[in-house]
Amino acid sequence: MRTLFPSIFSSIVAACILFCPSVLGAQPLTPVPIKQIAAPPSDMVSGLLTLPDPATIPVVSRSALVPVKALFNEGQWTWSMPISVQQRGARIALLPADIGAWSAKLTAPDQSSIPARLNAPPDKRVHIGTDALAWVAQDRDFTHLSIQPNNQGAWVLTITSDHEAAGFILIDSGPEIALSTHVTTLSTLQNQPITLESKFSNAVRLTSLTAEVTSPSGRIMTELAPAGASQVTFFPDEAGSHSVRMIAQGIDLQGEHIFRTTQHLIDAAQPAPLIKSPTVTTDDNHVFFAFAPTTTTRRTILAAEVWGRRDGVLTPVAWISTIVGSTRALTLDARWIALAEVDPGTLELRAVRLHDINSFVLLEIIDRIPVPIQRLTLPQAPDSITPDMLTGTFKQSVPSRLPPQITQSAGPGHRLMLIHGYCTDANPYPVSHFTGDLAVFEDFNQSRSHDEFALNLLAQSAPMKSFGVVAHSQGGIASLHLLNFYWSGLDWARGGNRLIQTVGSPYQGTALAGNAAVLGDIFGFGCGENESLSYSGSASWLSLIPSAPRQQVYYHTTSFEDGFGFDYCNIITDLLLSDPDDGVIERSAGQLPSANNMGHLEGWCHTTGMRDPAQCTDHARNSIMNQEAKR
Amino acid sequence: MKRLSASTAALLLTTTASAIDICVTPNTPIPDNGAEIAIPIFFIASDSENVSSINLEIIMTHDWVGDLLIKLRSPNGITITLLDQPGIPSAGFPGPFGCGGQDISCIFTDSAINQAETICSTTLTPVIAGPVIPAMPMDTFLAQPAAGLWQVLITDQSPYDTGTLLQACLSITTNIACPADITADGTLDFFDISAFLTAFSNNDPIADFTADGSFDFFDISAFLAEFSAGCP
Repeated sequence: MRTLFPSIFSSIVAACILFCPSVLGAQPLTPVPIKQIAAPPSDMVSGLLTLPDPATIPVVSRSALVPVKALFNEGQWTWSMPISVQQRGARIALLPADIGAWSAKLTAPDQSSIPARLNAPPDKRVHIGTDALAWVAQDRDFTHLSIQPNNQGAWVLTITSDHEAAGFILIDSGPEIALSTHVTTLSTLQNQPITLESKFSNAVRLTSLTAEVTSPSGRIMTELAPAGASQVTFFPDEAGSHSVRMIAQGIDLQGEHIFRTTQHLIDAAQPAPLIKSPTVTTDDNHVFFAFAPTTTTRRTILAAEVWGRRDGVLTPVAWISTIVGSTRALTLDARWIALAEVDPGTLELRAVRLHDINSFVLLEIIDRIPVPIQRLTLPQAPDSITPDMLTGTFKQSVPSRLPPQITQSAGPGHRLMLIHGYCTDANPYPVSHFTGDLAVFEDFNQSRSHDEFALNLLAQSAPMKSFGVVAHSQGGIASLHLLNFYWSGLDWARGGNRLIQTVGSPYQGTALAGNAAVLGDIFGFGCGENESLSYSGSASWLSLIPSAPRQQVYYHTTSFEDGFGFDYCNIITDLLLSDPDDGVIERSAGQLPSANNMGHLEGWCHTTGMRDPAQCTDHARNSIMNQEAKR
Repeated sequence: MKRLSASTAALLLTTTASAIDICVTPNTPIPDNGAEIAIPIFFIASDSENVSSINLEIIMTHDWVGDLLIKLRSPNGITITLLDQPGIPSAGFPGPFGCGGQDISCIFTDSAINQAETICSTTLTPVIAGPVIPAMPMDTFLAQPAAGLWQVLITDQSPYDTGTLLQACLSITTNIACPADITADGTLDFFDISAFLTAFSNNDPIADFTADGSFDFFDISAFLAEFSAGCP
């Protein structure tokens, strides 16, 4: 399926549904039941719930996204770029802002000219085709050029136009060298400097590094690294999504000039009031840590590790977390203390974290807070961890703004909900592949954070007593988010063996989030930016999901059929992703540690319109998912 | 506490302060979103025996206990609600349909710690288990006649989920009614007369033997008649 570019009218309506104050005003805050999440010490020591080192989650690129800046000359606008083609050939995508704005040609090393258009006379040196660009202007096809292997030499790409038509060239040429860039902190805050660090692979020396930053209001900042430096810093004085294009030049050991870019989507989150040290109270079965409250209704995610000493040895007790509003508190079931056999007088909180609920940006972290409890009568230690120790009981809620109810997808009962992903115009699963009571989730052509998506699932599942999930792409992540943080019909699902089954879900993010952000500055978005799908946003989110809810997820990944030639699902996004990929997510980024990996299949792509069939149309897999589903 | 089947219970005469369980095992399906079913339990006792304590054990399957309304009706028509679609209105349960847990194996008793309406969890089966406090107090039946037809009334109030009543055990302890035994010590003596006179002087309802709302010669006469007749 391909997302239809919305008409101006529908765009206005959709935007108004989302943002018009009058409509928002009609959506009162609703108390939504939340879980008091806890995870066992094994999740703590395994690192599952530890914030990752940002250096381990870089954006890696083997291509360059180059803006076309034409000059007026002899009655037309012209832009050209030399391309040093190696033995393996080169791939070029032409991404003009306006359809048909450009005329392009390639000049071969022998000075012969090859027009870059579909109806050009065939030339065996260059393959010309068109393809869509996932997530950005998906209603359009863009021209791409493949200079075939063994045509190395100095090529030139020339673009002409009768007006100053903007756009980008996405190019993969030269040696197989990657540029890796990461933010140096996961705490990217408004009015705090944000630093990105880049490096080349293959011992390529970095000679120039520039950050081109577009603020939420569209202001462009260009920051240069000092000569030879690998870091660039910019100062976000606006809160919100910043698109960043890192432009790196270098020289390899053979003296070849290397040019690569990486594209990023970075949320400069509005800081939250500091959580400070908690007030500790207890009842017969719980310890409550009440942190400094706020005066706003902003919801955030609070988490902490609990440690204590057993026979003088520092011992992990449990990891605790929950969604908080103006009241910011954590609850520890005292059975965790009894189970760990630690002295309550030695308790301390570690890695006390506050995260933005939409972008998952780390708002604050406190390394260690002693919270000794001198007089605590502990309950009897259970023989093993009980389910209610992991989720708490149904007692607490947080005022939340449920999304506007555009559709109510199904009637009552126990259903299998088919859930689409980010920015799509239809349910990707053939309903005929499924039996029994079904529900089809509908929130088409939208960009939602995982939390907004999950609340929409909650709202649409309200007519049902219980439900299980077969989800595509971000729909799987939102389902897991719902299961982890909120009470919902997922918690009542019965029958079957699998609660959440997903296909093509980018649990660890996708490079397209950053690329879509940068390209969206030119093309505009059909759906909007989505920080929660970036690598860093995903890593922060994953650090808040314990193993127990993950174990309820059964995930599948796919990629293009890998033959002997140059293979891909979408030739343009293939330039932005590391193989193997399904055209939107990389196989590596589709992994969910501690969950149930149901395997990887070649020959299936993320959506329709790609080279291989859409992964959600695999009848064999759908039949199994239907059979195994809880409802 | 003795536990008897309904058939043997019919042969039994109750005695003072002894608890009798009468169990029925109807295996009755509960109509989904349907009409109320009434499960009869005959409690055999003398007309003078009143309830001094009571509880009801229910064992049933059901896929969604939040659908269920369970009541208990006494022989003289007093009805109390034991379980009223637990979780509705929501006390934090997922969704608007109340407790979605499965099966019940519990004893409704006022002396329990956990409330039947809120004991729900997403993980335990049976989800309502052990001693639980009913929605309305069982004490409502105290001092009411024990003998006769008791009824367990069950209604499934929401579609999609069904269940079966496997067993209901009514446990009643009785006191033998003896109005002249004012001190309730099982014997009729001077102290009962003294207590009556004190109550009479204080316009205590216990001294209103004619139950006409006034305290007069006829109450004294009625008391003396009961005293003379003795107790069973």
